[in-house]
Amino acid sequence: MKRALLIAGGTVGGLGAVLSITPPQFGSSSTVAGGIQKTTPTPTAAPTPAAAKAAASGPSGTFMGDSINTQFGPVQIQITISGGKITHVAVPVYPNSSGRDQQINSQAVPWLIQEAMKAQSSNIQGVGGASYTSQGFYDSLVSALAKAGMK
Amino acid sequence: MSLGKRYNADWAAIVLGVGVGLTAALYIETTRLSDWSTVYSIVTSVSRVGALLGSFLAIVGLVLVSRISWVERSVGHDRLVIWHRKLGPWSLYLITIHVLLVLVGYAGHDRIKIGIELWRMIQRYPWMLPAFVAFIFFAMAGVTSYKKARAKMSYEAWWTIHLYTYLAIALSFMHQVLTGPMFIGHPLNKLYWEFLYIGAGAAIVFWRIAIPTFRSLIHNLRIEQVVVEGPGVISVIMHGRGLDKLGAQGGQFFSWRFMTRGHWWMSHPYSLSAAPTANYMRVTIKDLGDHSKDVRNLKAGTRVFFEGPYGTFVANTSTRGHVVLIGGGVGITPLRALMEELDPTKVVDVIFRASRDEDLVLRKELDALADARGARVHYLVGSRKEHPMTAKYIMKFVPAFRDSDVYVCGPTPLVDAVHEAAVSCGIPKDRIHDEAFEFHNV
Repeated sequence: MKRALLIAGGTVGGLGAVLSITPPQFGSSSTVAGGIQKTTPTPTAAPTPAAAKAAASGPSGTFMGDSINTQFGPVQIQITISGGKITHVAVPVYPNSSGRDQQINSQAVPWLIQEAMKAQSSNIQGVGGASYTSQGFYDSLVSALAKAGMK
Repeated sequence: MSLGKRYNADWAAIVLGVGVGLTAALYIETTRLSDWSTVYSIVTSVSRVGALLGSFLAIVGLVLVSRISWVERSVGHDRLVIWHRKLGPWSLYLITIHVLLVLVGYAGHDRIKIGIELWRMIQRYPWMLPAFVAFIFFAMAGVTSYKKARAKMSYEAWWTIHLYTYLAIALSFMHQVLTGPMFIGHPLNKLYWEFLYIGAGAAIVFWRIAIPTFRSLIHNLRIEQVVVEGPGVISVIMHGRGLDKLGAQGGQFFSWRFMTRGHWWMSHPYSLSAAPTANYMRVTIKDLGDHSKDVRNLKAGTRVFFEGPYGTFVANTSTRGHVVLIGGGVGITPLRALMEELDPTKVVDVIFRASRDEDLVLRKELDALADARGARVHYLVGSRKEHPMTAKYIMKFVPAFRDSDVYVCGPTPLVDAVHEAAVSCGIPKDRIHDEAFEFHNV
């Protein structure tokens, strides 16, 4: 049928246009991470008076969360807190042994970091496709916040 | 379908194709080789492709029935409804594949049972519970639209369930952009997706709500009188101003909403049963659903909201000097309206099928119209066996059947029988005009 051919032609055209402008990168595994890292905020250089006041009252320092064992390996996070505010989240340990783990977590870990920065608490959402890492990240984050006295 | 409409339909097909291409590109652009490296990652990947295409087709299905006026004009309402019906099942299949495969893929990867995986996903991922509820709504609307299921339901029940697809599509949106790997960290992809959803939403709000409301108020349509025409058959005569500006023709239908208790919340498609005038429109209704029984209690002065006119079942599509109008039961009403507008030079035969004498509604009007233009009306009362609608039988009454334009309206079996009869004696498709009752809905 002619109209089916038109639909097929349109599909090929639309697909071709997008893929020629932004070629897919099947091999790479870190485009998402790169995109998110850019948006990860760094501590503000010049704190406002309100922030400075908070800095005097809240806890400060670097706190290591518990190492949480998941089915695919341990997850451990480290947070830096300045005046009761989470200014940096690092994930030194996460499942990274198989290609599948790398692929999943290269997307999930930056996302979870961003979530924690945004929430400024353990009130974060998990990532699709990385339920174990999400759970491990969450549990480790809770323990780190507890050590900082921020529950 | 006219040449112009065919041409526009071709363009619509290309636009649909480009949309499918763009949507598939969302995936291909963001997928990695590792998404296809193990069995469970392949299962999950296939599920995501299904989700994207199924959701895209659901949006297209919505847009097809969003009553965008220039689309209605350029392709035709009937064609849009047919496409909506063809796409709907595909959308449901693809989304079902998504739900099943994503569960299998994740459960396999996490090495847990599917039921437990479902529970985990709902608990851990943002907007997953609303998305799951949305799937149930969507599936219900799909199942109840299946021909056999729908035949067993009232129009009201079907319509109410179908309405939940709006909610389903809205509820599923957030889980897509918050957990879909093709959207996280890909702002352009997200923008395209948001554009689709917001665009469809805006079209619905504008063309299905704002425009009909505005026009209903401007034309100030109200019920003038309710007349009982026969057993279970009721005419509603409505008065308004400037109705001729709507450009409605006999044989077309509107979606009507009587703004009174128990009626306002849903609209019904009914054909005009008389050619519209500047101040009057009339519909004649048989109680096919639960709704029309209550219609006889409608009070004069009740405001009526309407959407329309719709349909290409009109007099000026006839091409021959001889026209045969075949109506079954209350299906005669659009034919009666259409007959008024047939060119006076045309020779007209009317075949009116009914199982009982009292079902011959609007008989007096029909006789008067026939007398005025010298048309013949053949009343065929009795069972289907007594009056089989074969070419041979029709030609007993209308020898020139072969060389005429045929208009048929009534229950689906009658429409199908006449269609077959007309085709069997060589009448080309563009001279067979039919309108089955069920065709109005959507």
